[in-house]
Amino acid sequence: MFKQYDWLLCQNEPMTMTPRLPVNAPAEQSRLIGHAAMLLLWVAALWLFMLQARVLATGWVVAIWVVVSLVMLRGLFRRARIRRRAWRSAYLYPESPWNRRLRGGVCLFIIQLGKAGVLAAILLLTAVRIGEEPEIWRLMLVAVLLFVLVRAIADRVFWRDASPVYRPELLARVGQWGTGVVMVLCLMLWALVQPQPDFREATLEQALWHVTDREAAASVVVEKGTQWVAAWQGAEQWLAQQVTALDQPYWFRAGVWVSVLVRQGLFVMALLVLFNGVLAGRLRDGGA
Amino acid sequence: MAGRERLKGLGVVLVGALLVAGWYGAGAFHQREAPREARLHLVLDGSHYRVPQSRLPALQARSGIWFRQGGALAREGLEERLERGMVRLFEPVEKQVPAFLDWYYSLGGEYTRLSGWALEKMGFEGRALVVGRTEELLFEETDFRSRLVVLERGLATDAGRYAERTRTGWRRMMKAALSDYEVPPPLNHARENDPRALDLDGLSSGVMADERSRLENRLALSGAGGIATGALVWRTATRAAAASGGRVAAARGAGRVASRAGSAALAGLGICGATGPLAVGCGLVAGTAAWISIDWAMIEADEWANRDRLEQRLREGLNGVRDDLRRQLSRALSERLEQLNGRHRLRIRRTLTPLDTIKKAATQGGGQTEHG
Repeated sequence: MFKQYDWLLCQNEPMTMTPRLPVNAPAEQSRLIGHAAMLLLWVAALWLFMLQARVLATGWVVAIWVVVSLVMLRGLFRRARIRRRAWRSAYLYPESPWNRRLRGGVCLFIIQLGKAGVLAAILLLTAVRIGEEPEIWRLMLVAVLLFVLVRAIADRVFWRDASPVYRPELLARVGQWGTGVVMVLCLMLWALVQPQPDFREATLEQALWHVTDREAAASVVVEKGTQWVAAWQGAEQWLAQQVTALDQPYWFRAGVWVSVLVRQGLFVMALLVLFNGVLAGRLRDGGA
Repeated sequence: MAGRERLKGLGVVLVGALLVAGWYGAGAFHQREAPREARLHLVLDGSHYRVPQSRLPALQARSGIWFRQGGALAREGLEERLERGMVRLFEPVEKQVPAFLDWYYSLGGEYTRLSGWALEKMGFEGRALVVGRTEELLFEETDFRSRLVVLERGLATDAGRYAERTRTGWRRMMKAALSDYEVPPPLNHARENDPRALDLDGLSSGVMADERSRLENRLALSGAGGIATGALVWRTATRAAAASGGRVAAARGAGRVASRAGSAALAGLGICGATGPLAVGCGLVAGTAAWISIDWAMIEADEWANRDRLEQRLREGLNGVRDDLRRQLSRALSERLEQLNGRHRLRIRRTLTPLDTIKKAATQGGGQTEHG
């Protein structure tokens, strides 16, 4: 089996410049349990952060944000390098000097660092705002299991067919999309049934002040950050109630729901990027 | 291989434990809340403010100073106005003094005093005749009472204006001081009043209008009291004059009446002869004429001797009345202004008292402060 696969790689070698790499088998059961345990520990860490976030000093918050960003960066940067390799293989000759220049260095690192920083901030701030809402935290537990399972299934399904060089990216994508869609749908449904403050007779200013005023933290970073997230959510709720009351066209209502989708999507994406970062390299992706 | 299986089993247990703990522990713990300074929700001129507790003592002190200074300025202005008003009030009365003296040194005045003396002798309140006439000539003729009422109303209106000006300035000062803490109205504010909001508008609108009308009423009442007291004072003064006239009359009293009667009778007899019925009638007419002539002569002599002194006493009496009335009005104004401003200060102090009082109120009556 391995020989057959190696042969395929060798066949492609002159054209795609795919290196000869050992072909990894699907993840074993014990490894899956290890992944689940690690991700659950990270969710637990997030939960602990949520409990203490409003009383933590800015220094601690920044330190936690840096750690989460670095974990995210680990996955993001590896995946970006794999995607870059695929792009180079597709468009460049192996002997082209651009191969070396575009393999992904400082620039790619900085871009991914920026993405990781933003996503880490979104994840942490949203976790603080979620508070002790048990449904969301239970959903995260379910998401951990789903994520590990989807990745494992995808690994088992694609290990014979997908290139081992690009398979980590494929697994990350499948895991991210598979879990992400389910999570976003659940969060949208949850948002739909959640009670909202009555903004029908309130101005936007009143609504924003009402939601932001409740956000308080010892750290100004957490306070301002949660206030911004709260303002976004408050504006959505106000807009949703106004368009319903004023009988606005459907596309306008859809716009509000798109905003909810984007907000929930960002949170889910940040969480799954963290999961990917935690598990980066664990499936012997070796493509970095 | 066995170790691997054990590790796997341990992993399953760990994952299971984490899942169970996460599932059931998710809602069991509460997020710690950030400490936040208590803030007071104030409403002033329809605007809403959330003021940190630490700012309240300064606002309270500034408000106190403002109202004290406003009260002092109002008192100063009202005193000037009162002084001018009193001069204008007593000017016609002073102009009436010569007319009073003319009456006093007339046969009518003389006989009124004599009648009073006679009534006193018979056990009646005869002095009231003189006093009443004096009051009538000096005060009622000059419409004193109604002019005093007008003066009081004017003072009360001015006091209200000063109080209004002080409050307007205070509102402006407060709005400037609170501008950093302005917040939008709470949700559904129009539908129901927020029990946690303290309405400073109450200090400046309806309640204060009631206070002003109460001030006017009470000032008018004090003025009415002032008239009565003032009347007593000038009566005392005029009594001195009347008494001096009375004393003259009394001195002329029994002996003089007898001597006047004797003189008149002798004059009658001298003119009409000693006998006959016609002589009685003639004697009565001649005696009366002689009586009146003697009285007139005595009044003229009395006027020549005492008019200036009586006029001086009267004017002194009037000055006394004026000073007394001015003092009474001034005291009434000061008391009312102090009461009004004091009530303001008290309400502001109660409103802006940040410490335990508010916390107590918050726990007892629905709360005035907002934490977090």
